[in-house]
Amino acid sequence: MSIRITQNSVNRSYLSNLSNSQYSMNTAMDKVQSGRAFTKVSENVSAGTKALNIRSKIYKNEQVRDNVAVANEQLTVAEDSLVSINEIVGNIRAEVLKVLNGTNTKVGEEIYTTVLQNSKDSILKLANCKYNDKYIMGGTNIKTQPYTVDANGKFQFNGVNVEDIELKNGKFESNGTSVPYSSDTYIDIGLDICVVNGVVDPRTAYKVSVSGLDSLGYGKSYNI
Amino acid sequence: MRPTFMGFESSKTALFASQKALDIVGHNFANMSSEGYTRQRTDQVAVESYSYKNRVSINAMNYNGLGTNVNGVSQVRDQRLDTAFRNIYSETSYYNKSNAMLADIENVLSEVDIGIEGNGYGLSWGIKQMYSALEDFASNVNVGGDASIFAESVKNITTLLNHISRTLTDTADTYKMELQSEVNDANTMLTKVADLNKQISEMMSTNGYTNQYGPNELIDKRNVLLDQLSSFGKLVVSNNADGSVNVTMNGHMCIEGKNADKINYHENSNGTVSLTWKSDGTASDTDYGTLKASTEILNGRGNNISSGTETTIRGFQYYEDYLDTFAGKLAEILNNTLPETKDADGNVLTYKKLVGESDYSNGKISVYTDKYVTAKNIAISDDLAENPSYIIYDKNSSENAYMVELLGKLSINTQTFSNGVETFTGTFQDYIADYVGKLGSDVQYASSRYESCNKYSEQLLNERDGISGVSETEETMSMLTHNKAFQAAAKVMTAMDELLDVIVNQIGALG
Repeated sequence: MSIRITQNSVNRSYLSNLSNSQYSMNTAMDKVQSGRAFTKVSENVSAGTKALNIRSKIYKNEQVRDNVAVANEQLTVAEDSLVSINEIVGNIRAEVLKVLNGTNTKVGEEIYTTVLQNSKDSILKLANCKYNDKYIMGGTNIKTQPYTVDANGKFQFNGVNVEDIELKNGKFESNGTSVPYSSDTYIDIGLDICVVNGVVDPRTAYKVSVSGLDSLGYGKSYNI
Repeated sequence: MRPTFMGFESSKTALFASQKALDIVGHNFANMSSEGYTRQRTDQVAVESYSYKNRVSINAMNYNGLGTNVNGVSQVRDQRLDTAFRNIYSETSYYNKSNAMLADIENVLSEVDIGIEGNGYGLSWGIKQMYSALEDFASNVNVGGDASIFAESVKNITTLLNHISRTLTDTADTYKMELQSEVNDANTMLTKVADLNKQISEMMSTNGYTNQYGPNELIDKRNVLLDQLSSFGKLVVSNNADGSVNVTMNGHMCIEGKNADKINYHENSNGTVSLTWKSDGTASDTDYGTLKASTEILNGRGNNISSGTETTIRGFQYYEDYLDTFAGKLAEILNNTLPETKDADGNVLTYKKLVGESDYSNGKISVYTDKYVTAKNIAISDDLAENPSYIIYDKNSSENAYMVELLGKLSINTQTFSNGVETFTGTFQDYIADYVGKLGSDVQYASSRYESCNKYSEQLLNERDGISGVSETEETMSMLTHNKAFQAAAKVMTAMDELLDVIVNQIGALG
């Protein structure tokens, strides 16, 4: 059975096939020149939505990596400080032993006093160390020196006598009022941060602040 | 007894018939590429000579050989193919229009571009910028510069939301204008078909046309118009005895002989459009065709329809809802996380407001932070705009619990977005991927349906051409045949002349 072929139908078929070929070629050239497999989600829906999700994962990961790098630097400075303080404390212990076991002459006592006074000054300086012009041993206090010495030579942390500080319910208090700037700073490392009533759940973020109270002690008795 | 000049008569009829047939062949050749032209041919029949036509009985043999007669010029057209083509054409037009509108929406809401940093130019980029700025700020909570950058990123995302929402509405408006002009076109065509009906029926009665032989050119014109009309809706065409046609579009009788109905375009107060017939107010966009595609998507609100004029297709309004919910959720988080005042026990009384609803009145823009925001009117609050350090808690402290809380809320995957009936739970990023994915599948579906319908309609056009189109080989052959017939008839006339010459001049003349 043969259908009548007219010039019009021949032209129409030719035109439509040619258009389709040109369209395919154009699409292929686009892909080659732009280097992209698709430019709209409708061209490949599943790959498109997956690509969107992956993009967000990429930038979140990059951010976490940057956060961790900064935290690393900051904590390294704190660690160096604390290591030095540890050495000084070791030295003080040796000196005190010498005082206790040696002969007590006036000149000797004066020398020991000077040595101990110098150690105290060194510890004070180390406790007030900075990272990028931020004080890092002051809890959340970053602008003013956290450790100061009052008129009686007693250490003060953010203006509060260290001797009077005690730890109640996880917060540092002195005579009933909380010690200023004694809470913590956290950074996000991709663990779905959970914050309740303004308090960060420490299992969901990384603590980046170092409180001098935790490392150097507080209160009157020797707390291990 | 044979009439004397009968031979001349039959030759004469042959000459007339051949000349007419050649005229029609020339007409076909001339109109080979005319739009909608149906090939014509003369219907040649032999002349009958039967005694029942006469009052007096005659010897039939004397009257055999009366020649030929052209009964009329007919068109060759198949009604089944016409109907099939018009049905498929309305479907093709429907998917064509849907595809165009949805692809336009996709361009506005595009998210997978590369963009400046590989995150495109859309809302995902806005979120990413805000997230990065917030992370930097959370590590340096006392630094005014970082606060400033964060404030800028909030402004960025609110402006983005404004822009995208506005562009979507503008696109919808352009399609509404296009719909209006399409309705005008349809109305013009309806009137023209009715006019042609009138002309054809008048011709039929005055010019001796019959049902079989009608005014072919007018009928062709009408068929072209009916084909074009079928792109607007589903047509059913029925022929009347006087040559006119009755046309039913989308189930409503819109052309009855000389009378044509009109379609009314009306924009409702909630932004939806309605198309109704002027005669009885019923809807004109009920079945396939571009009219239905346009109104469905312009009025489309998906599963969240809230009024009778909206449709359940995922159209402009549906995606506007997505953007509005996004803006609302963003405002809810930004305005209820950073505390401003606390009571004696440390419980939060009021929060700092970062964004609000902007309202342009009395020649200036004011931002209200206690009203419900939509994507079109969300804006950065005056407090934050004037002084980005507004969000700094304490310039001397690195306490960042609330900033970290803000971070957590923006990336947590249990946020609920509620669009009316549909709800979605996930992160902001997942929400964007959700609507982009839905839109992508809709576009893909419409585009593939359009291609398949288009292929089928082209095939039908070719089939129709096979019946009604002009084939040069056939016409050339026809031309040769009629030419030879003409020459043969002329020869017969010459022969008859010689016969009569013998009878008249040579019989009984001696010498």
